[in-house]
Amino acid sequence: MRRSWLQLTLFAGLASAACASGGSGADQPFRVRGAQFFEGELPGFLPSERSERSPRVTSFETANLRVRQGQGGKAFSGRADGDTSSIAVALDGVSTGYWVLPIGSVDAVTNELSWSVSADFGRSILPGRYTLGIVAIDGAGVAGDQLLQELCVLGRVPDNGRACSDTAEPPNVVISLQWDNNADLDLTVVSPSGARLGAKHTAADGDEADETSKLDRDSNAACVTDNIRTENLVWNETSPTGTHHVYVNLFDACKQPAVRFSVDVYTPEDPGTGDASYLVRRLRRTGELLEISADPLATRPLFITDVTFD
Amino acid sequence: MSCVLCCVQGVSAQSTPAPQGVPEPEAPTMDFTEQPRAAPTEAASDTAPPPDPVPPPPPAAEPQPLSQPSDKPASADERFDDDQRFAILSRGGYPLTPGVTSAKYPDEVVVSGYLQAQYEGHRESENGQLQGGALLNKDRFLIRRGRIKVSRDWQWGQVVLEIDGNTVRGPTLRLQKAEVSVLYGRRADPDLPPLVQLTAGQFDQPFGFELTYTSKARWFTERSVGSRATFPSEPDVGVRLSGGLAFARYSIAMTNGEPLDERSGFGLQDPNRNKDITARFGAEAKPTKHFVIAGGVSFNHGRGYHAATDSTKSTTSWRDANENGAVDAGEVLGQPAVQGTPAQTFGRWAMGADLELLLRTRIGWSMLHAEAFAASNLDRGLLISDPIVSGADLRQYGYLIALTQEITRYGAVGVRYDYYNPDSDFLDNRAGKQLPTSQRVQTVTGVAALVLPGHARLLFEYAVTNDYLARDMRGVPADLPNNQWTLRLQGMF
Repeated sequence: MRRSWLQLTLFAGLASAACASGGSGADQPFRVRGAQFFEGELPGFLPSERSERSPRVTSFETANLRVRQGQGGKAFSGRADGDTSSIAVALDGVSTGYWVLPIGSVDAVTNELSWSVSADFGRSILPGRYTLGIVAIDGAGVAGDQLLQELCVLGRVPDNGRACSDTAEPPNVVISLQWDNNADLDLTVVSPSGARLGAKHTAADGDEADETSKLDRDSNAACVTDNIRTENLVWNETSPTGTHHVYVNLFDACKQPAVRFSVDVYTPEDPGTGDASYLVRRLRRTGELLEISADPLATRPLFITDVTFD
Repeated sequence: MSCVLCCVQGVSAQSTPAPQGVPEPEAPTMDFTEQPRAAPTEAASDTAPPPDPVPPPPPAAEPQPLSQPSDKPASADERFDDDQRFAILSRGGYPLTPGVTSAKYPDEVVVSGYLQAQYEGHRESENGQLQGGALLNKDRFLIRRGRIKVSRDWQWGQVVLEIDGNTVRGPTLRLQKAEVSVLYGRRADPDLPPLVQLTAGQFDQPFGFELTYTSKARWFTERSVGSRATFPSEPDVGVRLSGGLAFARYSIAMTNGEPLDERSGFGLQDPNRNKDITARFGAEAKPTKHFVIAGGVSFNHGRGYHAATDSTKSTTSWRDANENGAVDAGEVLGQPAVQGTPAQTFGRWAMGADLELLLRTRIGWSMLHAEAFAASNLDRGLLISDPIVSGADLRQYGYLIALTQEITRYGAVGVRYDYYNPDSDFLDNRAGKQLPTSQRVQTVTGVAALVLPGHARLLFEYAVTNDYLARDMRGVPADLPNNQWTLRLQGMF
């Protein structure tokens, strides 16, 4: 008997260590701020089996139905009927569980209860279409009908929404630079005509600007961290021709000892199904720059590769 | 046994000059062999200097042997030696009264210490970090306490210096205690404090029993949740007047009011001019050599600090209202310069009571400990009290009851239940309404120990915590699965 008790105690201790995972949802690609995470399927009735009973989510609002990979603070809000105690939210195909937060205050106009969600979408969520599920739960813990809303997650490489649409045409060429920390790295491309394309090179600087391409952003500019760590040079209307020289410059290490990066070149490929083309990566180069290589004047950027377009 | 005699001789030499021609004393008649536990003097040395070795007495001051008849009435020290209740607490490893500096002090620098190395397993541990960088993983090896204490006693004074090294928040080496005392009325019994002891420096705050009971002797690995919330760490800087007479004990301290480890960032400093008063008035009696009863009432009164904020410059911010990732009209907001807010202070207090019962049987010492307190705005470790922010005073209360039982000299078991409510008036948003909601945390802790008397302990502790730090399906505060187990090896010298 004494031995059994001892075994039970030891088992309890070991079991507690074994169960120590997944409680906070901090490892989930889709997270809701200030909410409690639960493992499992989103509770409630699917639209096909609607019960039309309380509690119910009665309205859903958001600025748009597109989010970027890695976007934080995406706002969703709405109302639910008076029997609601909490709201559960899940992103189908991404979450291994769902998030619960208490219902908010009474809406003065409709007399219903309001709710709002601030959601973060991780970088590991692949571009494409996803279904956001929202369900109201009453005071007894019983869930009502699920409200399903389709969302489009856009990738870090701009594709004009092709990931979510079979008819959207992607850009003709994208040269993408991505890196791994908060350093200020810049992509520079020199065209056959000698034009320098990139964040720190504009016509105003005396450089020969190329109006046919566009840089989407200067990420971490002047060490103002944006956590995007991506710069894309995009040819949308025209296609580049000839040999282009691709450089990467470490404008400011921002107190990072080194930064690792990759440069990718994307062009469209016809799927042969009648649908629009989609971007395919044709080339990848990786590298590393040390803090000592920081060069705010970009007098000696690191040569990466030559890319020749027909 | 001989060392006890030496001690008595030393004390007697100061208070009872012996007549000339008295023969050499024989061995004392005191017999501790009946006691079920040998004297682990190291266990008591956290609060009292070990009784031995002591210097030999001056030749001209030989006392009467305790077993021989004498025309003189017996001195107080001799009466102690006749009484088998003499030193039973310090010998048993239960130094109930902190700051005991008995007459049996060694005339030299005394170095002592202990090390607590442990592994902790927490059910809520995960890989990853929270917003702000807080680690979610709590399963780890750590040095909980590694303390070296150096003390030096004189008849009228004492200096104590204790250094603590730990890895709780990364490698840390810091001052744990730094006390200098002048005192009057040392007693022979190592369980009794002097009549008056005035201490300045960094010392443990005298509130309740659990706060001042040395972690070297405590069977449970940590203090209760309520005690750690209201007093995040034991020491503070200030002055203290303490002592005892017969069964009465007293300790009154004036301190900065910002104890070590306080999360305000002002630990051991003092951001306000006010000084905190903390005191305990109690009693400790040994009706028999097998039974001790002690208890007391405590209070704390002081002022907390709400920090000032700096003035700001005018700034602009962008709010991506339409979430298209571009700056559009109406999305750039101006934030005019704002004047900083001045610092403010707020009143806080606590009252408490404690009771300790110790019973020695053939199995070993049993100890029953109960303690309760009520406080206002004094949570400094768990859910920080700041009535300037909340707009109303925050009331706390808590209690605990603990029972420990030695199993011969080589083992011990214990169980403790503690309850703490950090805000008795907490309101939670539920279905659009603000409803009173409990925030209480209750913990049941069980501990089992193997003991190498006087040298080492191997402890296994499991704590089952029930709180309201998570939410259930209804969005209602619910228990967070955060049970914890600890395996600790403690060595001492």
